[in-house]
Formats: sequence, structure tokens, C-alpha cells
Amino acid sequence: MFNSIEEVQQAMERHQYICERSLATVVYLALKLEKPLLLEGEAGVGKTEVAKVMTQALQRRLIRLQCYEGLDVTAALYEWNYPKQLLRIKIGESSRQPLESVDNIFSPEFLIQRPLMEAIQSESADQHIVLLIDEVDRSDEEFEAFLLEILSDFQITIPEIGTISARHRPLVIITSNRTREIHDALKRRCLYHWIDFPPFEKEYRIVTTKVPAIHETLARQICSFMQTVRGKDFYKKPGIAETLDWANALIQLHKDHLDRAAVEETLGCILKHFEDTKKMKETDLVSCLGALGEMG
Amino acid sequence: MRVTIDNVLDAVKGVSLIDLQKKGDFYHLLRANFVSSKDEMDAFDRLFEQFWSFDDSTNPFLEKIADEEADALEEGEEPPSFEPQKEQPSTKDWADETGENGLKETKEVPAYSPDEVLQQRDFSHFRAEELEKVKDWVSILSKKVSTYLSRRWKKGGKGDHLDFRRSIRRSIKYGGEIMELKMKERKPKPLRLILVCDVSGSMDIYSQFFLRFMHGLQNHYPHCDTFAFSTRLSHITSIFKGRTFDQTVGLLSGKVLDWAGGTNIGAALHQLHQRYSDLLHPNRTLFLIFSDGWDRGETLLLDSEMKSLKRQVKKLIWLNPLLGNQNYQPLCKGMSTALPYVDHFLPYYNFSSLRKLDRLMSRI
Repeated sequence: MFNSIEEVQQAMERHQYICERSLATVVYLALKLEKPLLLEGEAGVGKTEVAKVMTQALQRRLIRLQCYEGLDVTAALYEWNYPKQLLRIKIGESSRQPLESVDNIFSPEFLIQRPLMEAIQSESADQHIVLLIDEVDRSDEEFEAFLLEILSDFQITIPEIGTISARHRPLVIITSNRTREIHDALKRRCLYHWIDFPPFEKEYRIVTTKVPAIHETLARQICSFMQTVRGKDFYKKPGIAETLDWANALIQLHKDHLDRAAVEETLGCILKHFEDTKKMKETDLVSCLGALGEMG
Repeated sequence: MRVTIDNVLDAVKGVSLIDLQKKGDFYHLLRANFVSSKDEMDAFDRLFEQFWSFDDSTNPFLEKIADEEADALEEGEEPPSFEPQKEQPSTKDWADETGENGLKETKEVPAYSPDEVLQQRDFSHFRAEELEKVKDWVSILSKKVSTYLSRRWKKGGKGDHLDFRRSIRRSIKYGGEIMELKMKERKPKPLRLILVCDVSGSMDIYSQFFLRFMHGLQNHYPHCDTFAFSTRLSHITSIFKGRTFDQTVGLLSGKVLDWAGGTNIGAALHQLHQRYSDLLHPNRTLFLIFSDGWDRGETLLLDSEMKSLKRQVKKLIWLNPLLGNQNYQPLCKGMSTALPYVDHFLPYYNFSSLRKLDRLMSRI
């Protein structure tokens, strides 16, 4: 466990996650205050990565719940194991030991644990958990209501059994792309942090850390190009994930600097909308490349 | 900004965990606890800076603390306001004028049979006392429409999936023999409704009626998102939710800054695409635009935005107040550009046109 913000920041950097002190601070607080951490930001700025990196840094196990529209209790929390229940009933019948054995077919041994329940149920200290609830804004509002009980008290209520509380509180990281507002009740239970697109220096450090094979000039050019692109008006602004993909792609193509041809060939790595690619090729490419020229 | 006691307690706990000499860490500690969305960050920064500026003349906090020390008995003091309220004459006057009766709209429900003359009259020609009546009708109708939409997914029959959980539970009373099969039905995915209202100058009086309609829907139908635009777009769902209409008017004029300015429909739709594309779904999104189509933006942009919007939603409905005029032809640049992509082009200028919308919604 960490005892200062610096330790968190260093541990994250050791696992190749370059972050500002502000992010390290909220992660540290989330651990110490045992509160869930709500991370918001544009797609591809490294929200999900925080959970992965913290899993490694803390040597815990990662349980990930990917949210989607229609996600419900049976997929996220628990479900009864019906075949097993039916078999138990049959065994009860043939061995003539009826009711009490039938009664306990609603006991924990007949539960199938889904991610949230698994996170709450983790047994021993060496099984500590990082729970990642990814893209919570995709789920329905109903689902947020289920989350409330879990996130405020770290417990789950199952009508047939009762309340199950967590023995060890997991580190909970919730991410949202902000396509809709998360309900206030949920937000109030979390620490909040907004991850922005990185400034040039930070992005350069990320690229050189994550793609060590890259040539220094190319790394600088890529980062500078990305900074310019994000300033333009596109449907989807590329995140760091795109920068890294692009850097890797350029290396695979044996490029050591950016020029018009190289960018045009690999544009699909950074812009994913037809309209955006078209706009880039027709109008913005010149100015984006121009910015590189100024840099030298 | 809403800060709960819990947030404060956590912040206090956090203080013991950090090095207080580092102002930056202290700032992040407070921000993580007190801020709960990106929109609140600026306000927080301002307040934080203000609190730590030790220049007595500009720091309202210091003043307040001093006041309290000087006269501990003095109570009921309003906390100083940091955001000067911008006066927005057009909406503000309107809020004052209707402020009294707004809350009654749910209680005193007038009969749903507006008399013929009023039904046909253009919204812009109403006298003040008639206005009240019509506003009530509008909110009743919005409730009615939301019932159609909700019913779509509540309507349940016998179902075609076996409900194991209930079947097995029920079997216990027969000693574990499954005597009756319980069925369940997957809930159909609800229709998502997106309402976009033009609040530019040329629309002023009509927008007010449509906003009321939007407000009604927003508060009765959960899968609904509301936007207002003139030159730029504002997401106003959270403003409408859980507030009476009159409470929202003041907030709206604060947030929709360019209220009653010019119109740029293409740019507004572009913004919507960029930020809220996840709300759009080809099978499930019902998209309503309320505008007269007097667009000052680029026609090309509007055209491409309408084209891609059309692909991304189930139905595109355009409501136009000018369609009430017998001689009106949708010839203005904006309207004629958008029209080819619109599924239903309806008037919205009087109560009877609203009922047309009502009938259309009941069929979708």
C-alpha cells in the first residue's frame, strides 16, 4: 500500500503510466478513503488504463465490468444456477429427503457470481481486487441504481439470502465518456477527476515510454501533429491511444519522419470518421504539416 | 455546486492524509471531493482562488468571517454571490409574468377540450389570461405523449422466455416439483427521444411554448434528452429534470447564453454529433427539431449534418411555426436544405397543431 502521493505517482510511472500529480492525488485518496473514483474524459485519454496500471502496481486482481445498454442484475451481480437447482431437486426426490434440502437451493452455493458480486466476495488479503466499471454512461439509469448500494456500502442484497457485505473494500474505478450525465446520487459517492488531452511534453513522454523503439524526431513530430489536430474541428478528436497506435504503425512502415505521404497512408490510425478523413485531406493537412515545419 | 456533509467529512479525513504545505495537493483533495462534473470545475477554481487571496477588499470569505466575528448574533446573512446574474430580458420578463401559476399545473387540471377558437389561434396572438390556459394544455399534452412512449415497453403479455427463478421458487411449495411454468418477456428497448429547440430571436414566442412541451416530456419520460440552440447548442436535460418550469426559465437564460441571438442550425447539429452521438440510434431514436429554418450558417454544413443525422435516427420530425401561415412555402435557405431529410414536417403554432403531433406520436 502507498503512503504518499509521490509513491503512487512513481508506481504508476514504473508501470509506464505517465500522469500528473493531480491524478496521483485522487488515486491516493481513493485508496485511503476507500471511495470509488469516477474518471471522466474524452475517449482514448487513458481512463481505463488507470485501473489496469493500479492493478499491477498494487499486485491485485482486476475485475472488469464493461457497461452496455441493457446490462442488468443477472449479468452484473449474480444469477441462480438453475440446472444445479433442478438437479438438487431431483436428487432430493429420489433419495426421499424432501423439503429442507429443497429449501436451501436458494443458498450461496447455487449462486453464479457475476463481476460485481465477485469483487465484493473476494476472500483473503492476497486476493484484493481492483474493480473497473467501464463506460458507465452506456448503461441504463436503472443500472446506476444497483450500483448505488454497492458503491456506498460495498454490499449486495439478494432477496432469497439477505445482505452480503465486502470483507475487503476493493479499489473501484468508474469511467465515463460523458455521453450522458451520470446521476447525482452516484456522483456524490465518488471522488471525481477529469482527464484532459495531454499537453505536448506529457504526450512526448508517454510516446517515448510506451514505444521505446521510436526515433526522437518522429516522436516529436507525431506529438506536435496530434496537438494541432486536436485544435481542429473534428467529430472525434484522437486520444493518446490513437497517438500510440499511430507511432507503432509508422515504425512498422519504417518511417523516421512525418511527411505528407506518410500521414495520408496512415490517417486511419488517428481519424476514424469518413467525414474527418475527408476534411483532413482536403483542408487541414497542409496546416497540420505546416506546424511541424515551424517546429523545425 | 452541491456539496454534501459526506463530501465535507471525506475532505476532512483526506486532510490528514496529505501534506498540507503543498497547496496543489490540498486543491486536488478538495476538488475531487466537491466537484462532480467538468462544468463545475471552473466555478471551483474561482472559489478556491478567491478563498486563498488574502487581499481583504476582494475576498468575500474574509469579509464574511470578519463580520461573523464582529457580530456573532447577526444571522440570516446571505452568502455573497460570485456570479453576477446576467439579465436576459426576454425570458426573464416571461418568467415573472408566469411565475405565480407554474406550480399549479399538475394540480388544477383543466378539461382536455380547449375551445375551438383558442385551438386554432396562433400562439403569438394570445392574450395574457388565455396564455395561462394554453400553457396548461401544453403540459397535459406532453404528459399524454410520454404515456404513449412509455407504454411501448411496459406492455407485457405472457412472454416466450421461461422465468427459471420464479418457476423454481414457485416449485418449492409443491415439494420441488415444477407444476407451473412462469414466463417472462424481454422488455423492448425504449424509444429514445431527442428534442432540439431553436431559441433564436425569430422564434422567441414559439420557443417558449415548445420549451414547456419539452419540459413536460423531460419530466414524464425518462429516455428523453433536451437541447436548445441558436448559434451554439446547450444540453438542457439536467436543467429541466426535477424542477418546475418556472424554476428552469431563470437557469436557462443563464446557461443558454446566446438566447434569442442568430441561428446556426448546421453548427448546432454538428456539436450534437460530436458530443452526443451515443444518443443516436437508427432503430430507437426519435428526433424532433423545432425551428423556423431561418439559418444564417453555411448551407453545406447543414446539408451534410442533416444527411448524417437522417442515417442515425429512426424518425426525424421537424416542427415549424411558420407552417401555420397559409402562404408559407419552405423556401428559405435553411428550411429547403433540411427538408429532403425530414420524415415528418409539421406545423407548431397553435394548440391544434400540437394535437397533430400528438396523433403522430401515438402511431410511431
